[in-house]
Amino acid sequence: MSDVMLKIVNSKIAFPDIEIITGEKVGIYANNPDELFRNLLKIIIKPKKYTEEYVLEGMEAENLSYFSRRIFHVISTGLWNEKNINKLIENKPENRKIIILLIKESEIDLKNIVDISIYIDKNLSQENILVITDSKDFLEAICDRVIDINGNALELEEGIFIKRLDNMEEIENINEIEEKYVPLILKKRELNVRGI
Amino acid sequence: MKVKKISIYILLVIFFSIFLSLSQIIFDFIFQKEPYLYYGSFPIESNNLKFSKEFPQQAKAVLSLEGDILKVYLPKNSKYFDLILKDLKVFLYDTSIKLNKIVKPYFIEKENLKTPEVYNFYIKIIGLVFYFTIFISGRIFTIFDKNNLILFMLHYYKEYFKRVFFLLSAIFSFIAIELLILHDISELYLFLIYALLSILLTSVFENIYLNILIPLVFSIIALFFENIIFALFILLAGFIISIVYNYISIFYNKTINVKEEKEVE
Repeated sequence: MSDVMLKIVNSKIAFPDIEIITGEKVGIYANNPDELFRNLLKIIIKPKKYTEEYVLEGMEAENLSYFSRRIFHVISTGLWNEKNINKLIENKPENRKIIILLIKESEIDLKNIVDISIYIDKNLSQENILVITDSKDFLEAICDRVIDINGNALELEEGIFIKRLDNMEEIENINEIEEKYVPLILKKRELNVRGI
Repeated sequence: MKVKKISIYILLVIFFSIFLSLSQIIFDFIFQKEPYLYYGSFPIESNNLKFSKEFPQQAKAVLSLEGDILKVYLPKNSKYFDLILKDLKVFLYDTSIKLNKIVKPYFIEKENLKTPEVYNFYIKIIGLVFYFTIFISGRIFTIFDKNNLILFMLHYYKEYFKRVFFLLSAIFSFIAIELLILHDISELYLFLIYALLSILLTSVFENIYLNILIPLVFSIIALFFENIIFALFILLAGFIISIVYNYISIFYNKTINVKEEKEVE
């Protein structure tokens, strides 16, 4: 019994090779997340047609597509016609083991990201999550591992990063700040996307 | 989001009930002045009794006195019998007094007698408002679009049937209001069918111009083509088209070959 939760290799449509180990939160950084999400849905619904290798919970699942769809909790604001992403995440049915999240930068603000990050850390730390987004902040807040649309790993640099929320400037040292009262966000890692 | 939908729905319900009650009051008022036609000799005179040389094509009701029987011809499928009964009683009473014998009514539904224009107009106005009310509530609680089909295919049955339930109860609530206020809705089935059809087709096409054009076109069709079998037939066709189109649009879109193109570059 392998602990591979989801593995998609050599898709015939634009989708990177991906492997999610149990409990892992993987992100895909894409400029056009909608397209990638549509392709992922196609793969989930008809794996045999769109991909060469499709593994779910350590099992070859190309031929089980009808039942295997039940394993995904698919979240996107468009799909559910519901703007509140937190609510969609909280409504996750017990028996659906992989959360697939489509988030666009335009749909979400930092306050939301913070809420979702805290909720996932607290309640869904054992869950498997696949995030498709064009929001760097969201990837930094949720994922353990990030790849780009070609499947290359992107570096999540560890450290302490401080960002001002009023003008979104990065700050090296808290003592630099001259104002009396400033909202800040503290990040423990930063996504390095200079490679793209 | 949910709250917003429900508040739009409640506004619709209120608007629809007020509209129906008001329009009925106004219609009753206007319809009272519409004259009854009689042909042959008639013993009494009244403001709303008019003589017609031959049997008319179109009238609220046609009266003709034969011996001690007052024949009342009503247009077939007219639904206003309760409204005119009071007037008819007065006529019967007056004629009986005048002729000094008891005159009995005899009601006949006449196939080629048409209902008055006022009545036709009233039915069409109500039908149109009913049509757009159903259409709007169908758009609020939409279940026929691509996204809902995906949810269904991903086995979110509970959510899907919840949405179906919302849509059906919205539609039935408007039918119930209609029934409560008008007591008869057989004229409105046609509008219901065309409203469902435009809900189906507008959910499929995400183009805003089409989404305005389609309900307008079908409202006009509903006004002028009163063939219910034809309507049911295109409703069925619309249903099949919507499912097939949605299903195809999940799998076949422009982006399908992007990966290969990238490799060529």
